[in-house]
Amino acid sequence: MTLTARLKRFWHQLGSPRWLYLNSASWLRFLGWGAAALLVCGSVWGLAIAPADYQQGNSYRIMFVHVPTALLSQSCFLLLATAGVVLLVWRMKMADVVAQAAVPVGMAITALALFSGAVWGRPTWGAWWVSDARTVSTLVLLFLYFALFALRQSIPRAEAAGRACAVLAIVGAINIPIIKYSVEWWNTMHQVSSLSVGKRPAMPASMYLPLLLNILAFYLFFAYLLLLRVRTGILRQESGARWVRELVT
Amino acid sequence: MAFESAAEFFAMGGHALYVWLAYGATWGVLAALVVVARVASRQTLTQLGAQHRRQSARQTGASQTAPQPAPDAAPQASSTQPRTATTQALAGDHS
Repeated sequence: MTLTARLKRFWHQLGSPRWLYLNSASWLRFLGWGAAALLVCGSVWGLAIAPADYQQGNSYRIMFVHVPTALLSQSCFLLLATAGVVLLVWRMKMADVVAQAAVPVGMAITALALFSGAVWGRPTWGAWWVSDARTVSTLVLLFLYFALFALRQSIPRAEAAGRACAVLAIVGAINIPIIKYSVEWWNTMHQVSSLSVGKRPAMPASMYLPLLLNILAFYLFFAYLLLLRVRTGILRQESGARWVRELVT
Repeated sequence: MAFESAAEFFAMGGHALYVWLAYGATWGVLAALVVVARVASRQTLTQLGAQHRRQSARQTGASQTAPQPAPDAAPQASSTQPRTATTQALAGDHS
């Protein structure tokens, strides 16, 4: 089988709630233990092994949790927008299960990114909160997650709620490039990225390696949590199906 | 190692409050997310299990009472008979 045929088949399998549920139990274990191991390694490395910053001292260690959560908060919203397109274009019901599972996680991660940013800002900038383009656009992202959550609760028909949330996620995704380029388009208090794909990092390996490890750890953690929540969502949505009945009794 | 001693490690060069607040909040929220998701997963499994057992009990109960002559005769019959699986399941539904 060619690679594209394989990918196509995998895509169709992902769209099948039954296939995904029955096959994902082992992935869940792998993702969960992988995320836990990497989180421990990344935290120990970032907290105890990486050298102190010559200007910021030890407060810069907050970066090792701030950057992964901030990246993840944006990736999660892009996932929601993608799921929205898949739901509206291909009418794949699984896309809405994924979206529903991801919103509360994205909300919590965005709140964490803002919180750790504030806690880092106090000793570094001298204030818990400084309004600049980066911080305000990230706050808007948090409000978009709130809006998605509230919109879902306010529409009683599940199908209509899913479509409305899909539209909001697609429209709201305009905020993502604004967050990303805010530090270049405007004069922000927030520094520019110290780490980007295809560029030499603006810090030594002893600092960016633990950061990379933590980024990977947080993405694995997100995958684990999302899969766990999607599996619960599948059971709820397919509660009348024969395979679910055979599974739970 | 960036620190000489454990005390130095916890002091974080005078930034202990900020570093440990940020890490504590992050670890706490991640742990809470996992706990909430696992509890929801387990609850869903037990709820659906109970629901399907009730339904299958009602179905087997209905097939037992099916030979009864007329539907309006059923309440009389059930009042004289001991509680069947059907009536138990229905009682379970309303409680």
